[in-house]
Amino acid sequence: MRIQRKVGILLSVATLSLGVAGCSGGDNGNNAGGNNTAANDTATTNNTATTNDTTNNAATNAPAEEEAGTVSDLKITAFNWGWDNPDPAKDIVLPELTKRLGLNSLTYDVIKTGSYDDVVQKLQLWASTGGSDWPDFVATGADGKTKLILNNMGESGKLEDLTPWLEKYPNVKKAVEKLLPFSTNPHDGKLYSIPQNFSNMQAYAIDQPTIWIRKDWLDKVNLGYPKTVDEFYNALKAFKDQIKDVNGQPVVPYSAFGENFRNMINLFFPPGQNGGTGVWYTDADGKAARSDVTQPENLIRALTFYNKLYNEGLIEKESFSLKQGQIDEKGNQGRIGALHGAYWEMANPYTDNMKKTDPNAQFVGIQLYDPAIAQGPSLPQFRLEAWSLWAVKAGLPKEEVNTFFKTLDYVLSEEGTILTKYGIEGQQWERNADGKIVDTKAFFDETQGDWNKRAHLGIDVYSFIPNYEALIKNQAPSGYEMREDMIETWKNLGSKFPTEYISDPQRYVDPGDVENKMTVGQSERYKQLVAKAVTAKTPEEITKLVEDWGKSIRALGYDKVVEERTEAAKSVNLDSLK
Amino acid sequence: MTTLAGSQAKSKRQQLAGKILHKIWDQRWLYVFTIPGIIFFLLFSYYPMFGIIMAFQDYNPVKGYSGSEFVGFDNFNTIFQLPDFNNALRNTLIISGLKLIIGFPATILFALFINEIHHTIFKRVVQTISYLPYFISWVIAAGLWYKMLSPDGGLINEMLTKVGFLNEPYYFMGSTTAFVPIVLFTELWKNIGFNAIIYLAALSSIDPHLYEVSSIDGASRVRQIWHIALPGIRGTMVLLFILSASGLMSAGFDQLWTMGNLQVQEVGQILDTLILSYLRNSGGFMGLSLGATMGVFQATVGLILFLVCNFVAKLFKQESLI
Repeated sequence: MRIQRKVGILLSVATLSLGVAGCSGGDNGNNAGGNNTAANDTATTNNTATTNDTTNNAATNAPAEEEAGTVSDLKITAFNWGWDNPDPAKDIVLPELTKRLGLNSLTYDVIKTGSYDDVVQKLQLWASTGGSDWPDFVATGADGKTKLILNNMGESGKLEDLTPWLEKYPNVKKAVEKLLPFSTNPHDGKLYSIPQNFSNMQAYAIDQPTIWIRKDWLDKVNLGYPKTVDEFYNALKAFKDQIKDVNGQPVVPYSAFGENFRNMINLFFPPGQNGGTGVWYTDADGKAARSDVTQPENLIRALTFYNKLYNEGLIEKESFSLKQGQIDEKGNQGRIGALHGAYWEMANPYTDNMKKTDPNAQFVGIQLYDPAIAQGPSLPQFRLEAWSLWAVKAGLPKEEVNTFFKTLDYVLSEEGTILTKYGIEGQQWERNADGKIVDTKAFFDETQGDWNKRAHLGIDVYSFIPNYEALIKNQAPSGYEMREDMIETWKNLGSKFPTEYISDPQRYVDPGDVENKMTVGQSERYKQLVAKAVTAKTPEEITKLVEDWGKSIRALGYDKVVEERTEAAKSVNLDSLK
Repeated sequence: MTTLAGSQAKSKRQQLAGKILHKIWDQRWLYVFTIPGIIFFLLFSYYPMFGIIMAFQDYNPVKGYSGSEFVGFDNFNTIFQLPDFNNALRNTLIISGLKLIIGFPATILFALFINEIHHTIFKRVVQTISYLPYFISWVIAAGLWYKMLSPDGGLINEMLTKVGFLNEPYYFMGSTTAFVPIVLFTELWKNIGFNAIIYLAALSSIDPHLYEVSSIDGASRVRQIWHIALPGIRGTMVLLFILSASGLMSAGFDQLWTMGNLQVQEVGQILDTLILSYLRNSGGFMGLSLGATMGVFQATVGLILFLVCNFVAKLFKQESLI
């Protein structure tokens, strides 16, 4: 009996220990495993790495490799707030990438969230655990809130300063170098994050013209593409008076605002000087300025224009309460005449859906201008920015961090870029007569160029850092670039790609402490101001609303933010734009 | 003498303690049943109270409670100076006040009506229909009402224009005049059935002989309600009123968050929605401290209201919660 009890106790202790080990296995267990593996597998991994190094030019440039070995298991964490994930049963890229890197396992842990706000909340939650739940290697967003969290974590010693690692991996450094000034922590000059995905002027065609308008409706009402806001107004009037939907019901001439608050108020200001409460510019005195406060006359003109559209039924009564799903429903049914957004969000999908019942239906993008402020339309300027960032937890075994950087380095090579971006030669892609990469027929038939369907196979998912030179060199025009509506759009714009960088330093200044405190709730209040003004009964009401807005912003400490921003702009280095 | 008195007192104390222990032992299973509830409140109500400290700090989760800077009442100052704070406070009091003034008697009336229905099947059908909306989340309910009240093909606008009551569709949800009545109506629609359950339970506990006797004495149904039913549920009414009044600072976050929109914020922005809409886009971790501050402010006012109502109820009706 006593023996049985003792055995029972021993078994319980053993089970509990295993359970605890299992529970903590997420990070620490892996780390411990990583350490052991690092020690045990260094030879194996190094051997493999040597093999890889023949194809991976970057790895040969890494002097740290002798110092820091590698591990055979790597886990990378990322977020997803709306698109498709790779299907493990179909994924061809990850196994191939793992093989080429000589890893035993490469885990890509994707955390699915409802929205981007949830991503930031998740980071805050991880941070609030003191960093114990923070993943080893994570790709985050790159907005101001996220940067603050990352820099806070870094200053508290929870995140690794990546500066020395960039020195060890010069190819990675070269790829992100231009953006480093924007992700360096201003307090201590350290790099607690490096860009993961970022913009490139030659690789990203203009995706958001001022507005998308129904070309077939313009033809029906015998009007050409509008160029000015007044011509646009006339087109909307014609849509309202002359166009009915397939059921004979009135159409929505112009879908403005809605859940995402899309509008063209910025057209009524000098280019690059307005974007609600989010855009600051450098004024003639060299000081920071925000146009909703400093240019009330332009804001009044913009709101009066929208007020006219609202009162004449050219935008919807529900403009300020419509969810994006409701707008999508109307757009897909062919009830909307003009709208804002990127081609891939609405214009192209709506066109494709409408064409099922009306082959002539299509949205085409145009650039408008306000003659009161400009002589002609201007192209969107290009902002050099990171869209997402890598952050590495502090205190990891250096072999593990080294393996992570080796992975980035390989993906950055031409071979890695082609694998992660296009898949495997002969299966997913082949070269056309010009030597450019195109989808194989079978692969195109399977996916129809749909990004999400391609993602099931892991295509374009594991592009941990883009190599734009390799992409531009190898890639034939994508499916969307061959579309009639897109070709027409870029023809209207006069260019497929942006031609100028935003060079105003204020556009690169992140909000400081004073601004963060002063602007609490301001974007929300600005939206309320716009909603009130657009639905106002009289022009005097609009003027008063704008004047009161300016006064309230100044009373909240606008001048202090101007000082803070003007000072901060002095340290913005835009040499990388040259 | 003193020794004798002392030993008698000691013996009495021992007897009393024995009685208490005996009683506890007799009711041991009742005490066991309270354990999950006690654990629940300890874990989810008392333990998180420690977080109140955030309201007095510039809280940074990376630094933790001990490392974050203590700022005294600065956060309270910040939220009181938010440009829309006064408006949101006013809206909160108006909406929750109206909900109390209209919803409280309406629920009692509804329970009395249900209680007066003697046709069993009809009574159950009415009860079931009235309970159903309670089980729909506000997200769904708000979507339904938005759709029905939409000027673009909404059922109610279609009906009102068809019968000639309106010349053209009216955007009810965007009207500052119509919004608060819609909030009150939908609140009643959603909760009246479920809230009436407590009153129906109280009504069912009234001795039926009282109704029989009053009927023999010639009392009408209205007289019976006035003199028997209402006094019979007075305790329940006082209890629920005190609880409702203490919640006056919360006008219904779920409802106002899902039904509100930019056009009606002037009348529909309440303290809860104000703090979330303002702080969800604020930089850094500032939202954590200010959110906690708003919570402390609302809870403090709620506690004061609770104590005042309880005191008044005790003063006039000798009915109270504590």
